[in-house]
Amino acid sequence: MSNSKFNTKEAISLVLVITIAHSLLSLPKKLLENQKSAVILNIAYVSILAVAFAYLVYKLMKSFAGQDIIDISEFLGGKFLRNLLGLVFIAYLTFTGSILLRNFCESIKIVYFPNTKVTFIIAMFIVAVVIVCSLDFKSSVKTTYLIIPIVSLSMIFLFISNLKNFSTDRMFPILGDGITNTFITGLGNLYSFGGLLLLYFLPPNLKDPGKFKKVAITSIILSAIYLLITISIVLFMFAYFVKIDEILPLFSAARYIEFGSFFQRLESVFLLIWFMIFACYLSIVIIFSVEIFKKMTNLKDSKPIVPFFALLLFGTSLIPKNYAVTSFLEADIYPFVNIGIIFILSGSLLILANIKLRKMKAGG
Amino acid sequence: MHYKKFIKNLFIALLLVSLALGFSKSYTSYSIDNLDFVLAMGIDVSESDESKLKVSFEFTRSSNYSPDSGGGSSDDYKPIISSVEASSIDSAINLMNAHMGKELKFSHCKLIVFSEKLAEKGISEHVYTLINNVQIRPSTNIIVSKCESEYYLQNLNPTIEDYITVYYEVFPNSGKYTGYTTNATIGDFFYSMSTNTCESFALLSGISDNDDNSYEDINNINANNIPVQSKRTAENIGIAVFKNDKLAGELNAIEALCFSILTSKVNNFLISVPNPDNSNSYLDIYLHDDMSSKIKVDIVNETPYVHVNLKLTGDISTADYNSKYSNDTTLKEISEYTSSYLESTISDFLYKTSKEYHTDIICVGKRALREFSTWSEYEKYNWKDRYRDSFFDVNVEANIKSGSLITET
Repeated sequence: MSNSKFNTKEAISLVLVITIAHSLLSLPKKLLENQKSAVILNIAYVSILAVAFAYLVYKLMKSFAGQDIIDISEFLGGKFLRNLLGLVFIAYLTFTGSILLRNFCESIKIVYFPNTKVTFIIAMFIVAVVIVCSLDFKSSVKTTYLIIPIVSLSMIFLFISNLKNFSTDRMFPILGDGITNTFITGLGNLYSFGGLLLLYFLPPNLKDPGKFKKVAITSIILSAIYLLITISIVLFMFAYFVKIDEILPLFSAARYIEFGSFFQRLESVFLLIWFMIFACYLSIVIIFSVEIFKKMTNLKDSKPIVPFFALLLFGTSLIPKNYAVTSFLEADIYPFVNIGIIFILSGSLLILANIKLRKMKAGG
Repeated sequence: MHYKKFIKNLFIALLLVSLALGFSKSYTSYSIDNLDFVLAMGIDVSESDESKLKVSFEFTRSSNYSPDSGGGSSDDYKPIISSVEASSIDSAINLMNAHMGKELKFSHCKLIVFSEKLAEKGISEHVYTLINNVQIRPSTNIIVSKCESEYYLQNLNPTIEDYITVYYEVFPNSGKYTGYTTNATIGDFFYSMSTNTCESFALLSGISDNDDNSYEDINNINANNIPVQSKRTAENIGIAVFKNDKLAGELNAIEALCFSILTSKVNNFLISVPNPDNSNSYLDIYLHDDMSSKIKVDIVNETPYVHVNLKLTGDISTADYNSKYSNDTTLKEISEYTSSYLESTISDFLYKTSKEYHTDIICVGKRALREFSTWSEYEKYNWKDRYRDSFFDVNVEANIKSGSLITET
């Protein structure tokens, strides 16, 4: 990736794609289930905290200009810590990518391909991602950059065209399950900003490393706006998601779009757009897994290992026995893994590295 | 080098073929040759065994869409209805698949008709089953028929439309300009059934038995006695009211209008108010709302006080040899008559639904949410049961502006 660095807009789109991919599946309904009618208030609150965290990441990484978290871990704990952390990140990316892939494919199977084995649907994505990543990493990033505006516009369209079905009364009682649940336990909803992970890897890949602060803040603000729009759609349309577990809440919302008897059944168009953004998400997962592996092993050419990581993703996504298991992993395990790795592990590692750096500077 | 390229191309070709084969099963099942499109579905209690269902499916011939066939015009339209008795909707579909030799497809199903008898027993299980079906769209209309659902479908023939599908799509929307019926969808029904802020409703229908075509007061018109003589005997007027998933009662034409006004489902409507100048005659007035109805709820001593405010503007469509609609005093008087008439009618409707049926079909509960700061407080209050204790304060401000083309004679 070193000879194909990203500009600011491309880097922002990479962070956004993580949030978008998760919002297509269980993220909105899980947030609604946790917060009920206070979900908008809670998302606004955690968004402010996420922006503050992104700023903190920028501040902590400022002292290590042009280095990512793998380089910083090497500085802190040598090659052992570097390899250990590398493995943790690869496992994390494989875990999140595969459960999301399996869940998305299971949902598509239910909706459009009832008689097709889920293995074929997963394979379709894997083949597409391997082809794209084998061409050039930069092409995946460029594609993501092109598709992000289309997805954002489609989401705004989904919001506007469903305005007639909205009931803003559903944001009451304003405190949902109470102040404690909204502002204390609700802090856990920071996990919805999964894109924060990429901030740890962006500095060495930016064309202009000086703009890292802009990338970090802007991408999280845009993710917050996107989340607010998607959550509002689900909350104002179907408060019953609190009680009822329905796959693809946004797909359900798209089914309600009708303009007279002429424009109906637009959900297929939405699904096509979501196919594209999902393929982009998978390619980003593979790109960063490959890059981490490359750093761990000092490989010169990373492209030959792309199929290996794609197969790893494919195999891992087939491990869960059924939709119930993947759904449980995505809705109940993913938030804890996210908080643990993005906020606790990476955050504390950066803090420790900064302490070490200060001590070294103080010691001359 | 050539060998490597050959292997690569072979691999890609094999991959494409295996993917194509993998998806071919889904393609085959969606092929139009293998499908029978269901236009409407009727669900009833089985005559032989009350624990079973009698499910009727209405189909259309694909030739009905052909211009050469005359478009399946209303004159020669004969519904193709097949019924099956089974323990559940899905097993009925399965049996019908076997009978037809094709797979039933519901993506163009416009109506789901439940018989009154089944609706009284409770239909939550069936609604959940239907909403769980990917092919059934949330905008599919839900109807409660006062007769057997199959009999209703047999009699629901379009009178002037060429295509039955067009008629099925259009008739529920007549409520937008009459208010006597409403566009009740299975999506809304499911939503109301699943929350604790609302109750469900469905479109009411029946077979008109009014053979003598006698006059009926608007307050008495319902799906069974609409004073219309027509080739089509199936009528859709009024609303079926549910408490949880069970049919609790029905609303006649004027009550359905009140429902439509309060839920902003009617764009403009006609009402007949007593003529202030002649107690033996009525004035027909076209009204539309200036703004959506404002419903506010106060909880006083644990009792809901519901304030309804409506602002309506209208024109008088009645004209006779002695009309004085350019006179401000007359218009004011008619406005006051209209306001008090609507206030009393809407108030009666609200008390009927709350005290008699114990059901909040206009979703007052949604407005009451603001009165609570947390969900647990709201759930503890138990809105659905407390609604029956509500008091209503209805305030209608009608502003009759003029006559229509003739303002004075």
